[in-house]
Amino acid sequence: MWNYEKRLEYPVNITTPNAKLAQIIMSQYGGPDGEIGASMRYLSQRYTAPNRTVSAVLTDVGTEELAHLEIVSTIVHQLTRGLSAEELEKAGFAPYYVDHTVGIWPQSAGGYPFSSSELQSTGDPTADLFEDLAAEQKARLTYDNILRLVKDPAVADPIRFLRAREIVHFQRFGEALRSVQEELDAKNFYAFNPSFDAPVSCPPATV
Amino acid sequence: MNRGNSMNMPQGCGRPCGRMAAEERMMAQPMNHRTGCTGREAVTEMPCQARETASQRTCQMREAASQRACQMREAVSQKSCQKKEAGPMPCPEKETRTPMPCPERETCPRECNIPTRSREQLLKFLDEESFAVYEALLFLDTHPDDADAHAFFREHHSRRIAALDAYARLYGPLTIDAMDDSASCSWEWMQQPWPWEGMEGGAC
Repeated sequence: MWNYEKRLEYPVNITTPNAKLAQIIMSQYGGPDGEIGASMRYLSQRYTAPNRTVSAVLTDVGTEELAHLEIVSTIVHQLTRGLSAEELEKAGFAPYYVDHTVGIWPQSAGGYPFSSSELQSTGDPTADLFEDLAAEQKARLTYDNILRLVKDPAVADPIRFLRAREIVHFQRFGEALRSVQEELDAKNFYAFNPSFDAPVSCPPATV
Repeated sequence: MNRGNSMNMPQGCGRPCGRMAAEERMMAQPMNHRTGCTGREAVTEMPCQARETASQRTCQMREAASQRACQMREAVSQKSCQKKEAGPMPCPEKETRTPMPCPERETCPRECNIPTRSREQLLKFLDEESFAVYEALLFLDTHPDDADAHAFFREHHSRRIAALDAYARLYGPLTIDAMDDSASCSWEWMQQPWPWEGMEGGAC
């Protein structure tokens, strides 16, 4: 289960609101490569993990992504708080504002609501882990795109932290994938789905 | 039992060689390498002397390895001047040792090494230690046999626990485990600022 710790994984202290930037950054909350998608993807894939390395990596990275979605939504919140309706409208924020005021709602920058279509959980660990590697790269590039548009250091700082974490997660998923492949036939990785066609070989819990 | 002289055992850990201790229990009679076997020929097939030599070599190797591990752990724990409280000791050889001397312990038992000047500084310290712990956690998931990573995890984990405790006592709890509201009249969990409020405070 999950406990809540009343602090951000990385501090966010933005003093200058900027609704235009908020519109863009919210894609890392509810967008196709955002943190909600990442956490739901990894936490969903855990159940068909073929070994405990994969269970642990998916659980721990998925949990960290929950911490990240909190950071992104904090950034969006601090970029929009205190603004009047006129200021929001002038920043191009009116379409979001009319439905959500300055509430936080998971959608992409382009207005697409978050959906499970943004992620897959295939039940095949090879496919799942390759998807996870790609997901981390997509998140990393989205943060790169955001950083090209950010001038405020108070915004760039937590974004850079999040970007660096994506690269570390990518590394961990690579190692998890290797742990799966090591248990497969090197001459044919795809002979069977180790999570479905073969009994799971997790050792029983020791007393 | 004084085995130090006969075995030239390193002083660091001061505990009888694990293998000897195990065989002791098994044979229910003390092994004495100096005077040779004491009736063990009857129960073992290997020639007693060859077995003694082999087990003495193994014992010395084990002592050297465990002394190295002990020294490594001492170096790590020396950096962190905290009481090693509840929880299993990481170094089995240390079970018989006295805790690391910590001069500051008398004046700052739990906040030792923790900045207490301001809430922001304590939170920053907590953020840093927590990040180190989580990063080590991820690394250990795919490198579970890395001893350095385990040592790193333990050091920062104990600092994080101490920081959480100090923060809770000074400013209010950040986790359910740090809650101890028996002394307060208000529900600090709710009253203290929430993390997204930042420096400016929220709508409240």
